This record gives sequence, structure tokens and C-alpha cells, in this order.
Amino acid sequence: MSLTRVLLRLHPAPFRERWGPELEADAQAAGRRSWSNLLASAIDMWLHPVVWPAESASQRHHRAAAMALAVTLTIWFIGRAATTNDSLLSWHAHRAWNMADCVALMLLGVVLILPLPRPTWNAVTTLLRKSFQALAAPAILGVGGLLFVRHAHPAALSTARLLVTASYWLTLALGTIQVGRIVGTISTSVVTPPSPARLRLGIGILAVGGALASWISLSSVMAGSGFDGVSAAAGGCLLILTCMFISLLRDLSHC
Amino acid sequence: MQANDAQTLVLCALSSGPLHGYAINAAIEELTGKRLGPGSLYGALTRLEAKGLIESLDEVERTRPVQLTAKGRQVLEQELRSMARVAAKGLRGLGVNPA
Repeated sequence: MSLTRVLLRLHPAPFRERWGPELEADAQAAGRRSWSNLLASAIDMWLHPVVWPAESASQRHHRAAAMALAVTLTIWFIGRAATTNDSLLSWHAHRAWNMADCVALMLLGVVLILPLPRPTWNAVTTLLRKSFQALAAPAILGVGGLLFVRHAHPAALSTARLLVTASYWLTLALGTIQVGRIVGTISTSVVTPPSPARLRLGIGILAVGGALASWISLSSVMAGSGFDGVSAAAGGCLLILTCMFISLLRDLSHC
Repeated sequence: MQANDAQTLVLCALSSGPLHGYAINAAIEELTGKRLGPGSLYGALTRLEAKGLIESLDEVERTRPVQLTAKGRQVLEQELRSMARVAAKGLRGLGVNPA
């Protein structure tokens, strides 16, 4: 498979279905000069799922909700990782706002953006089945890790500490990805996308939560003795992710 | 080239009638001397379609021509009039007759 074909396949499926043959013909004609442009457009399309070819406005709203949830879960994951070993960012550090407040605010945003299951038996069972299939692996990994920590000999625990830590983070990462995939891939015949007003309000609240979280992180960079790299890295990532909420709101207003 | 420039150029290319992707790029090359990258072109087409400014016609030999919608014509006219005002003011400032 040529690099051109690989770069074309990086684009989202709805985009490829809509423009694929023409895009491929133009890309082949342009040759290697088009490679950087194709890579940039693939990244651009994945960052703007609202503009993908869609059959209806509700499909766009569903994609916006899935994107907002994915960004929120990523923010949570980064915040979790940053607060684990950094006392300045700990959940309940004494300050006007702390990470626990941001989580509560973002939870409100998540509740507003989540598609709701349709009130039918088929919809509920489909949702439960998809959730079970998607979350089985991280659940087994998580329960296995817990059981090992509870019942293992202290010597074995000490030896396997790195493995246990890696397993913990892998469970969190896998669970985060799978939750995002459930919402992103569930059919609109099973769930009702949020209304435009609820979606915009929810994303707005998420943006405020993300901005607060990045502010808390960045304000902790020089708060202790010397430069806190963890706070700086976390704050920078959270700021970039917060900008994605704003980009989503902009795309929704244009479409 | 910024995303909005690419979208404006595509709208301009479609002002004369429906075209498919390759022909749009040929028209843009005639206008500016440079073609859009394939990713930029179809990204602009995707965005314009999402905004309701262009619409697809029936498939013709594996290509699907697009054309301006009524809203697209209106937006293009507003954009071009705005650009014309800016160009005229700038040229007058340089002491050049805008006509």
C-alpha cells in the first residue's frame, strides 16, 4: 500500500465515503507533494467531527457529544495522573478552587452532553450489552489488580510494585478509551442525542471546568520550592484540551 | 493558505456553475496561480457542505459535482463585497484609482 493510500485511510470514514475516489485521484496526481497536506487534513478532520459529512443535524450533535466526552475523559486522566504524586495539585488542597471542584463542575457538563437511551427495551439491552463488551477487559484487569494487592504476600507485592502500578494506569486508560468508544459508536437508534441548547450549555460548562483545571495546574508551577514540571506539563495539556471545547462550540454554531 | 481563504476560493470557483473537485482546483489555479492541496480542497468542501453553502448533485463518472446553494450565493456575495470595500480603500490610500 502506497503512503498516499495510507494517508487517505487516516481520514475519518464518513469523509472517505463522501470524497474518497475524487480525493484519491487528486492525491495520486499530486504525488509526494500532497503527503504533508493529507496528513494535516486528516488531523484537522479528526479534531472537527462536527463538520464530517452527516445525514442529519442530530448525527452532528451526537458526534459533538462524543468528542466533548473524549476530551473530558482525557482531561480527567491527565488530572488524575498529575494529582497522584503532586501535593500542590492534590484534590482537596486548600485554595479557592481545587481539582475536586473542577471534577464536580465537569461532571455536570458530562450529564448535560450525554446522549440518553431511548425508552425502549431493545435500546436499553443494546446499550447494556455494548457497555459490558467494551468494559469487560478493563474491569477484569482492575479487579485482578485489586485482588492481587489485597491478597498477595508483602514480599511479592514489593517485587511486583512496578507491574501493579502499570496495571493500574493501564486499567484507567483502557476504561477511559472504552467509555469514549461506547458513546462515539452507539447508534442513534439506541440513544437520543442531546438537544442543541443542552449540548452547547454542557460543552460551555466543560470548557469552564477545563480552564479552571489548567489554571490550578499552571498557578502551581512556581508555588512550591522551584519549578514544578508536573504542574507545567499538566497545565499546558489541560489548556490545549480546553481549547478543543471552544473549537467544538464554534463548529456547532457554523453547522 | 488559511482555511477561510480556501473556502472563499472554492465558493468563487463555483460561482459560474457546478464543478467537481478537480475542476474546482483547476479554476482556483487559474484565479490564483496555485492549486490547493487535496486535503485542503476536500476539507474546505466538507466544511462548506456542513454550513449549507454548497450541495451535491448526482454522481457523474465516479465524481459528484457540487454547486452553490442560495445561502452560499448570498454568503459569497457578502464576502466579495466586503473584500472589494477593503481593496478599494487600500488602493485609494496608495493613491491608486480602485477602478
